[in-house]
Amino acid sequence: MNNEKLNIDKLFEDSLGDLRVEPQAGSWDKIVAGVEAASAGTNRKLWGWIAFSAASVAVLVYFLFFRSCSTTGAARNYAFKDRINIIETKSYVVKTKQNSFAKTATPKVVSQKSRNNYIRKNITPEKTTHNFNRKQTTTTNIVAVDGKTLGNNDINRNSTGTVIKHNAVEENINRAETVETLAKNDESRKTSIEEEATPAVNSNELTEKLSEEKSAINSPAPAPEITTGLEIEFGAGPAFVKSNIRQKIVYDNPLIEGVNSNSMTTAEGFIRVKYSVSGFYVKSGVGFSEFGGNTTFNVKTEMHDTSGGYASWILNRYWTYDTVGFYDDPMNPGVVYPVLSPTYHIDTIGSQWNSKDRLYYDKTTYDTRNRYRYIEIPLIVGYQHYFGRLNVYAGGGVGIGFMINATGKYFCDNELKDISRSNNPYNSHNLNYMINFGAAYSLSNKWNVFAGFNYKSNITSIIKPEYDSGIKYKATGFNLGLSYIIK
Amino acid sequence: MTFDDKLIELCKKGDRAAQEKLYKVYSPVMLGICLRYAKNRQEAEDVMQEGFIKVFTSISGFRGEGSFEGWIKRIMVNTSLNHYYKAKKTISDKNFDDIRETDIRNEDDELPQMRFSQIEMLEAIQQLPDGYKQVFNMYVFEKYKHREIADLLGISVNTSKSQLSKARNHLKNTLFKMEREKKQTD
Repeated sequence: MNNEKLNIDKLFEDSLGDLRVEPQAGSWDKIVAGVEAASAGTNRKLWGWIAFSAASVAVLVYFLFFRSCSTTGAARNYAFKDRINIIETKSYVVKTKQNSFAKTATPKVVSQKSRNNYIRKNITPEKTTHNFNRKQTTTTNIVAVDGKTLGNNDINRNSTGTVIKHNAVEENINRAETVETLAKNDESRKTSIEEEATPAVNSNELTEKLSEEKSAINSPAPAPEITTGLEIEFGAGPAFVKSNIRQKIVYDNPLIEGVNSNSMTTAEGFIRVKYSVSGFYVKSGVGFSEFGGNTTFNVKTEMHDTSGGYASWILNRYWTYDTVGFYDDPMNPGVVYPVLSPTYHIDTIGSQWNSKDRLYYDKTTYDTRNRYRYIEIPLIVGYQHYFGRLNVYAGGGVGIGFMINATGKYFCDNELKDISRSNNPYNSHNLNYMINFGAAYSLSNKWNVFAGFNYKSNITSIIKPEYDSGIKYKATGFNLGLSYIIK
Repeated sequence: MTFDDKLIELCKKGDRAAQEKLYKVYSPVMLGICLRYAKNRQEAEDVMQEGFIKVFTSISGFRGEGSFEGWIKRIMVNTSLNHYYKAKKTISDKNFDDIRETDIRNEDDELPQMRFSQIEMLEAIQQLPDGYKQVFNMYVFEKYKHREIADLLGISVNTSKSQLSKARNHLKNTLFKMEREKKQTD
């Protein structure tokens, strides 16, 4: 058997082991086309990955670098104001040094504001150095304060960077840190890194500049414009709910009819977190919402009035005949006929009382306030535009509602039943689309007040399929609230 | 540097003429391999083309370990198997066990006496159920061990062995049948 196995294997191997078959004529062209298509596909994948990577890097840079730059306007000016207050009595001479890749730099006298920028560069050298464009670096240090030349020791020689990076550093410094660090620097910069001939400083000129800056700073701060940032919103207000339920419904049981009021007024409220990116925002959070309606169920109960009635008897009426004599027929001698006397009888066999059954309907009215309450989690995307302190916004999204409570009555199995959490015709959750728009006004750097309209409508029915007859609810709400700028 | 080495180097650089040369050298052998795994000529051509596309797009990965022909053959065999499983979607012992035993008639323990042409032998293989065909080809022509076949096809070693045995019987019966038909026509 083994030999046989080997033989058949060998038979085929010998026959087909070196099988060579020339391909069809167009085969090579197809391969070339396939190779080119595969290369193009690889390139597409490659570019796709490059694009994806670039986008990822951009997003990462954005979140790591610019995200904290959440406000412009007033907040930044306030910080600057504080810094000015600390150092306003001093004048500074700054020496700028550039490397061989850059043009020659010259020492210069700088204004208070510029001086602050220079200081800030020096405050955070560890943050700035490793990211800088090293082809063109700038070393900036204060070499004199109030006409006194500073020493060599304390100023960081590695505090280098491009202007662009400095701006970013500036944005990364929050107000408190800046004030504190500046205060320290005022103390530490009693010495300078190198001896430098201090250019003459015109103190009058400097004082003039300072007073100009100070007056500019002391003027009312412009409203903060949220370019990127996080807010938390608290809002509440009335909501007007409408449904498409028919006004009058006669149920399967003809004795029950419902009269519906298709609208109701309720309240809604929410806490949402709003994340803004440039003009766009995304909101999500938790809200309370309510759908429902007022229905009057008219239930007729069949009633019988048997108070009236009559008695009836079963009678047997019949005649009996008694023979009272005989009559001889003269025409037929010997024939005798009896003479009969009839008696009428009425016998009572039985009697009964026949009651009267008068049918009438007892009508009971139930005024029900059906309420279906939800915890709602929205996701809203929108756009906002600033007009000074005023911010106008509009957006839309979806919200998923989780039923927390339901009250009222519903018609089931030919009877009205009370709605309870465990016994109700409603789905435990539903999906709504929502549109909101409104305006917010900046009260301060941290607080806004807003007023807006919310509109929402069911995407999925709130009613279980077995009870659903295409009923949809819509709610229009008017909200007032406050928003707090987290950052 | 051998002729193959030069050709491979040029192919790695994407030289179309070198690729065509390589194709002309190896395509007859590779089509022969594909024919053994395919149901028909057209399917074998498709598989071979797909295999050569893989060869040219992944030739930069060939490090010169082992023979180049062996490398291409493996690609062709794998492409043939993938081509089958793309249609079948899943690989399991069940695919192999689905073949009905009643299809196999063990008529005779001896081999047919008549000689058969390459085309007839190829037809006999192509008539094999897919599971038998794959195991038989891999074992007899590609010299894979049962363990390797089992790993490549995702089946057990015992399944591989039983499939080979059944394939042999099937082929033997096919050859006997062909022999009888030939005798009748003569």
